[in-house]
Amino acid sequence: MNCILHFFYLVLLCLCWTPLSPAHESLPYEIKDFSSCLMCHEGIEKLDANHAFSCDQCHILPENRHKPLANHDLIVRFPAAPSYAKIFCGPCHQNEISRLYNSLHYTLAGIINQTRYLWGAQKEPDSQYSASGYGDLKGLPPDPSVVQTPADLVDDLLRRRCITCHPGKKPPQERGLYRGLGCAACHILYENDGVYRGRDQAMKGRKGYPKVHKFCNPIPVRQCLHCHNGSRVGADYTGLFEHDYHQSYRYPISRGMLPERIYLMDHHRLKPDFHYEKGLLCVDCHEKGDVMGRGEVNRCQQEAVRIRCQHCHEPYNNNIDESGKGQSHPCIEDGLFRSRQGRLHMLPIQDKSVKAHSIPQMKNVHCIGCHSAWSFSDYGPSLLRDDRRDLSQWAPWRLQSNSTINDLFDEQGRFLGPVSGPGPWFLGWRFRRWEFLTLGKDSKGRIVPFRPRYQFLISFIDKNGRVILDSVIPQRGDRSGQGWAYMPFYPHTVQKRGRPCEACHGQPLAAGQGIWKGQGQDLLLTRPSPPVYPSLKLLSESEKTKLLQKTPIYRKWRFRTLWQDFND
Amino acid sequence: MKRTSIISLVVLLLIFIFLILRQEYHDISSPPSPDGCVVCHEPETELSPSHLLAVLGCSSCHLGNPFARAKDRAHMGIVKNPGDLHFSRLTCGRNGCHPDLPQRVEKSIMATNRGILKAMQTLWPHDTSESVHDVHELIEKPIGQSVALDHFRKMCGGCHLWRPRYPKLGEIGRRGGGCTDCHIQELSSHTQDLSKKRFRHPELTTRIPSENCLKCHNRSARIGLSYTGRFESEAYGTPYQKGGPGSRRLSGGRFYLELPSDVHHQKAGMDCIDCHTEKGVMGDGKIYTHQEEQVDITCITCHDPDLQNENPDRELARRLERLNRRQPSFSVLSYVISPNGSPLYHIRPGPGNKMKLYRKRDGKEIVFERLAQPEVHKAPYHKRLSCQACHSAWMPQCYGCHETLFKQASQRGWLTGKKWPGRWVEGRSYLRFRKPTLGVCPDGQIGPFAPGCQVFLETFDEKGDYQPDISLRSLVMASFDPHTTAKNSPDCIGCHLDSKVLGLGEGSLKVTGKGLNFKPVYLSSESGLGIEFPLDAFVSAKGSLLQKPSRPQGRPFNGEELKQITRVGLCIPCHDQYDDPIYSRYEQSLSRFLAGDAPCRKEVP
Repeated sequence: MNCILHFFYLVLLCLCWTPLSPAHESLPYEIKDFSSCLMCHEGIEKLDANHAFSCDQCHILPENRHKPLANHDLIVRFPAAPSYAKIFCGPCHQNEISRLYNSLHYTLAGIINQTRYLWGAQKEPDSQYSASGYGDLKGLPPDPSVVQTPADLVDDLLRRRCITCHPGKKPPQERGLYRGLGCAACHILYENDGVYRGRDQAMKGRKGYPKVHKFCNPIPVRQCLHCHNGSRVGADYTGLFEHDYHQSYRYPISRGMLPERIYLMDHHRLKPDFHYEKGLLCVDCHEKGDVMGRGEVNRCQQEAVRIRCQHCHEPYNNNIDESGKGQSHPCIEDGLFRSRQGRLHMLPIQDKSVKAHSIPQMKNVHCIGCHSAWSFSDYGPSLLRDDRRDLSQWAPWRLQSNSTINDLFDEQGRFLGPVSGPGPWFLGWRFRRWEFLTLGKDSKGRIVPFRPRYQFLISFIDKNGRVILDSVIPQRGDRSGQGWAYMPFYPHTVQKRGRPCEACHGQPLAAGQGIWKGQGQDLLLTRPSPPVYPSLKLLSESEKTKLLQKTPIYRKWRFRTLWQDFND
Repeated sequence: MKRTSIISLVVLLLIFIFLILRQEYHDISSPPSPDGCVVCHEPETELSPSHLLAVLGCSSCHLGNPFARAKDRAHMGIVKNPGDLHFSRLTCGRNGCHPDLPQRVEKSIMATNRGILKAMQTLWPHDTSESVHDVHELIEKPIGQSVALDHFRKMCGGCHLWRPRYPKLGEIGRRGGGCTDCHIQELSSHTQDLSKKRFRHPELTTRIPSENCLKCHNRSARIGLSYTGRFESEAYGTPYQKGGPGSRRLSGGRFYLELPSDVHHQKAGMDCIDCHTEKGVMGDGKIYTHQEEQVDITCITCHDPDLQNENPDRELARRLERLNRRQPSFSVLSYVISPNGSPLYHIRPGPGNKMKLYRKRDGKEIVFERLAQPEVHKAPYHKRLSCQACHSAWMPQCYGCHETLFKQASQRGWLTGKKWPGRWVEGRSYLRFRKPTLGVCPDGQIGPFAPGCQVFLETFDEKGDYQPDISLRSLVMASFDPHTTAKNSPDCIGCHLDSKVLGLGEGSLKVTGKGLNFKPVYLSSESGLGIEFPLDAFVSAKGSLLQKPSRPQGRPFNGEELKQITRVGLCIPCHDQYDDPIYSRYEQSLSRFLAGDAPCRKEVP
C-alpha cells in the first residue's frame, strides 16, 4: 500500500514539475524520495548553526505540516515576509519583530507622513500612517474616487511609486533589485543578478533567488543597496549618482558596449565614502537599533539613527551630545576598531591639532558639514499621473528608475501597447547636482547639510485626456504654506579632508539665499523652503549674515588653516 | 435708341469709376512696380525704405524676365531668394547695390565654417585626401569615407550661409538663405502661398533682431541662449504642462532653464548687433579660420574707448547711421571705433565719464559707465586677465559628447539633402551651469574655458560590429566668451583657491608648500569613460595637460602658474583688497612673510 502511495506521489510530483520547468527534464539525478524536500533540493545549505531546522519549520505553516506535500502550494517561499514572520521567526525573535514593525524600514513613516502632510492629506507631519499597517500605525487609506486636489492622489503615489522598496513588497526582478522579503530582505543575501549560486541542484543558476540558502553575516553593502539606491543614502556611500533620465544620457558606449545597467539606471561614479574605501560595511557603523528600530515609532531617519561620528572618532569624550554621551562604538577594542569582517582598523581620533577642529565658532557644525565630498541635490521634481491609454510621448524618458514605466517600452523606445487602469506616475527633475550644498540646523541645533527633498509640481491627466491638475504646488495640511520642504541630509561621502571654508562661507547657496538670489522659476528652487518639522530649521537671518560676511575672526582662522596646510 | 445710349453711357461711366477706384486702391495698398511681375504678384508691403518696389522693381533682385506675360517666360532664370549666396553676386551684389558684400560674406566664418571643419578634420578620423577648407568646397565634393566629414555633413552642416532656404517647419525652415538668413524679419509662416496674387513680402532690415542670430547660435557654445538667459537643460521638460513636457523648448527635442541673462541683455535690452559690427559678422574680405579672428570688438572697445583718435571712415559711419533710421543725428562727430576700424556709430561719448549707446533696433538711449576702479582693472598683477575671466557669471558646460555612428542605418545630410548609410546618435554625460574654468587663451589672455568638445566616438559597421579602429576619445577644452556678463565678479578666493576655476575640476584641493594635492569628485574610469582624469579637469595638480585646448596657442595654467596663483590664496583671507600694499610688492611681501618677518606671522607659529 505504501509503495502504491509513494508511486502515486512520485507521478503527481512529476506532473507538477514537468510543464512548469522543462529544464528539469534533463536533471542529472533521479528523484528518490518525494517525502523529503532534499530529494529535489539536494545540497541546499543550512541557514546557520542556530537555525538548523528541518525545512518545514520555516517553510510550512504549522497547521499544514501534517498534510501530505503534493506540490509547492503549501510551501511558504518567503517565511520572513511581514505576514509570516511572526509565525516562523516570531517564536524565537518576538522582540526583534515587534521592534521591527515599528521601525522606519517597516513603516516608511518618514516619507509617507511627510509627503501626505505636504500634499495636504493630513494636518500634522507626525507619524500616523505606515506602509505596511503592521505595528502601531495605520495602513494607508483607500484612494478617493474623485480627484480634485493633490491630497486625493498622494496615497496612490506613495503606494505605486514611492514605497516599492518596502521590505514586504516584492521588488522588480531587475539587476540590483533582487532581494528577499521581510527579515530576509536584509539577512538573506541576494546577488545583484539574483542568481542562486549554492549547491542546491534544483535551484542552481536560477534567477530571482538568494545567492545561497544562508543567513549572511555580516550584511554586505550591496545588500543594503538593493533598496538604498537612487538618491537614497547608501548609494552615495559607494559613489553612485544616477544619470539624467532622458535617452540622450544613456552613455557611455565603451568598446562597443553600453554599461551594464543596475537599479534600472546608468550611473556616474563619484568619489566614494572614505569608510567604504577602507572596506567598512553599512553595518559596521549602523547597529541593530539603528536599522531594526528600538520599539518606538520614529518620524524620520534622524530620530532613528543614533550612531555618531564621535562614537568612533572621539570615543573617550564624555561630553559629546545628549544621545552619544559617554558612548563609544561597541566594536572598539583597545583603541582599535574591529569590523564585522574581523579586520582591525586604526581609529583616527579627532585631531585637535587640526586648526579647523579648534575653531570655537565651529562647535555646532556637524562633522559631515565639512567632511562630505558631495551630496545629492535633486531640484524640482515634477510628478505627473497619466491615465491615458497611449503613453508613447514618454518614450525619451522611459528610463527613470521605475520598472512599471520601463516595461511600457521596448529597448528602442517603442510603446508596447495601451495601458488600462490608473496610469503610471512619471517623474522629471528640474536639475540634479552633486556639487551644491545648502546648510540648515537639525533638531539638536547642529549645522548640517540640507537638501531639496520635496519641491513637487503635481499633474494629473485622466483617461479621457482631461488635465485635472496642471503642475500644481501642493499646500501643507495645516495650511501653513506651500508643500515644499528642504530636509537635513547626512551625505555618506566622507572624505578625510574637509571642504574648504569657502564652500560655505560667503556662499549664498550654502546660506540659503539661492544661486544668483534664486531669481526665476528654476533658480528659485535653490532657495530652501522650511523643513517639515518645526524642530528642523533653516539658517536664521543673523546666521546667514554671519556665514556670508567675512569677519576678522573668520579671516584669522581661515589664514591659520591655510597656513597649516601650507606647512604640511 | 435714346434709352440704349443712356444705358451705354451709364455702363461706361460705371466702368470708368470702377477703373479709377481700382487704380486708387491699387495705389494705396500695393506699391507700384516698373516690372510686369505685379500683374500676377502684388506684394502687400514694401521690403524696406531702401528697396522700394517702385524704384527697384522685382527683377533687380529676383531676376527672371520682367517683360514677359507668360509664366514660364517670365520665370525664366528667376531666383526665389535673391539673398542665396549662390546668386547673391548677381542680385544683392549687382553693380550699384552692394557689390563688395557677397564676396566678403562668402569668405566670412558663418559662410565657410572653416574653424569647425579644421577642428573636425584634425581631431576626428579623417582621410587627408578628402580634406576641404570650407563648406562650399564640401558641398561640391562627392561623399567620401571620412568619418569627420560624414559627421559634419549630417550633424553640423545645418548652419551656414550657403544653405538654401527650405520650406520646412520650425527652426530648420527659418535657417539658411545667405544674406536673407540674417536680413529679413521672419514671417510668422514658414512658407507663402504664391498662387495668390497678394502676399506679404518679407521685410528686409539692417536692424537685425537677435532671434535671427539665435536660429543658429543655440548649440555648441550656445552663446545666443546664454546671452538671453537660457541654459539648455538636461531635457526633463519640466515643469510639465497640459499633461506632457513643458513649452520651454528648443529645436531638436531640447529644453531650457531660465538663468540670469547677460547684463547687456538684462539691463540694457541690447541685441547682438548692438555690439557686433558688420565687419565682425559679415567679414572684412579676408579669410579667417576662427571666429575670434573675425570678430572685431572687445569689451574695452566700448567700456574703455580711445576717443582721441581721428575717426576714420566718417562717411561710412554717417551712412550706417542714416540707414539705421533710429539713431539721433550726430551732434558731435565722435563715436567708438573697433580695433579693426569699424565705426560703432551708435556708441558715443556721454556726459562726464559716461558713454551713450543708442540701440540699433529702436534708438533707445542707454547710458553706461566707462571702466572705473583703475586699482582693480589696471592692477599689474592681473594684466593678463580678460574681462570675461571675472565678469562671466556662468558658462554652459556640456561634459562628455558621446557620438555613435551606426552604419546599419541611414541619415540625411544637411548640405545636399541626400541620404546615405550611417546614422549618428548623440548623447551626453552631464550638463552644468557653473562658473567657468580659466586658462590661457590663444591671445595670451586668461579667459574662460568649457568642454568643446569632449568627443567619445564609437562606430559600428554595416553588420553592427564595433569598429575599434575608427572609435576614439578626443577631449578638448575650448575658450570662448560665454556671453553671460555680470557686473559683479567672484571674490579673490573664488578663483585663487577654487579647483574648478583653476582647471583641476571639482574636488578637494590642498595647497602645501611642496605643491598641490587634489582629489577629484568625478571618477571617469569607474564611470566607464576609459579615461583616467575627470571630465572637468583641464590640467593635473602637477600642471600636466589632460585635455587638448581648442587652439594650439591656448592652454591650461601650467604647474608654475598654478603654484603662484594658489600661493596668493594664503594671503587673500586677510588681504582681499586690490589696493592692499602687499600686492604692490608681492614678491617682497611674500619672502618677508615666509621668513617670519611679516606682522601676520604672529597669528601662526
